[in-house]
Amino acid sequence: MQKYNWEELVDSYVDEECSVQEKRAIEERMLVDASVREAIQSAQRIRQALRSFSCVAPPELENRLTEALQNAPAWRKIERRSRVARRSEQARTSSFNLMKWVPSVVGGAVAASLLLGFGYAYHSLHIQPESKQTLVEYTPMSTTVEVVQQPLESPTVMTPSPANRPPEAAKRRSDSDFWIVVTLQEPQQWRKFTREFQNRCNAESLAFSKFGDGNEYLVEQTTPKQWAELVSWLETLGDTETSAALERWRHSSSTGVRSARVTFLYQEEQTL
Amino acid sequence: MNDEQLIDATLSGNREAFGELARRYQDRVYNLAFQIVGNSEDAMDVTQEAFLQALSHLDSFRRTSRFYTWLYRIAYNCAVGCVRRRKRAVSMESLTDEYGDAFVAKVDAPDANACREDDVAILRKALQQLSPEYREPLILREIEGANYEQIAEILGVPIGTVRSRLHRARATLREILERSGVYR
Repeated sequence: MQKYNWEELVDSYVDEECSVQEKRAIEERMLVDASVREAIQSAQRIRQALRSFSCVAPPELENRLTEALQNAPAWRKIERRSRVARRSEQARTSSFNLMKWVPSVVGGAVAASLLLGFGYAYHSLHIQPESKQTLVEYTPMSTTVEVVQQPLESPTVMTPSPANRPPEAAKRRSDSDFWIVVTLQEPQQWRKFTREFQNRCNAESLAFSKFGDGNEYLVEQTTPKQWAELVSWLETLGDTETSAALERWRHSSSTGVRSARVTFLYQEEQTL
Repeated sequence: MNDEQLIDATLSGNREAFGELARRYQDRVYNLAFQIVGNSEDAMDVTQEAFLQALSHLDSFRRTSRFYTWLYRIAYNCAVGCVRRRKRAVSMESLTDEYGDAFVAKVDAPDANACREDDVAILRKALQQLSPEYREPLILREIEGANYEQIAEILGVPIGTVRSRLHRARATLREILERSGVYR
């Protein structure tokens, strides 16, 4: 017979988060155990009372939000990206349209060449020597492409550090100017969010090295666009502090890559 | 338009689309913020900050969860950050005073499960006495109706942690309410 933690099962039952088997077990238990009945009734009363805490937003909130959102600085970035995306799409569409005509153009060019060749051959057979034409040779212009090599930053070696060190210590420890410190709200978030961070880097094919207890990462050889997206996501996890160099870099249009350090810290809970 | 379509429209530069998203969820975000920060002005600040952050980071939203769950996480972080920045305990007196305009406590009809108005006030105070790690999952579950998975996603903790914190929150509330004579 399976043993249950009845106290916890009460909560799962009240929250309708238990399995069919667990539900049957606790309903049977209720028939014989008064403490389980009382716990369920108490939880249901608390629920009913808490659900009465409906909170009406002040009427001025909607206007305030509308104004703030209309004038948000984020629109500049969104509109710029939208313009770039539209231009890329137009260029792609134009190339596609051009490609559709290529077979016709090529076919026409081949036909024209054949006709020219035939015509020339015919003409050669019948021309007077002084009227013979000389074909002009065409040499396409060669173009050189200047490749600007961005110096790759050599990765720094970091010493492991325990989580919960103040941000200033995390920043001072490394020679690199490229860092971001993410301060999570509580210790429990650290494990989940660092795992999510690793999964995200893997999904984006971003190489990274892990240090310490898994609270420090060196993300390697990343473009500004990749950094911009990664930092944007990190900012949703908690308070962030970004170095000026990384901040400039992620907004730049450089074609190079950079490595940067990501440190996760957490705040200690304060019990009221 | 559903949330996905509004997000796509926003990312194409349509300001009205995000305005519609904000109208859909502003009350719920405000409600969550109020429960955590405890006063109307801060709750409005938090709500505004949460939507501005959501707009700023919308391109990083992966759509592996519902938009509201993602928005909720941002709002939760903003609210907790606001409390930490404030660095002061919200007094029981100021909670009661500020509840006057923003809070509407419904009083149930008198029956076996009814709560009287003063019982509601006691419960409200008892809720504020809980530590944040226990209060927040309870608010999400009981007031916002989030399931365990959503709560885990929002708070960034495992589902097992959500279960144990909810259990602890209810047990502590029960003790407080029994001592106050609300529940015997």
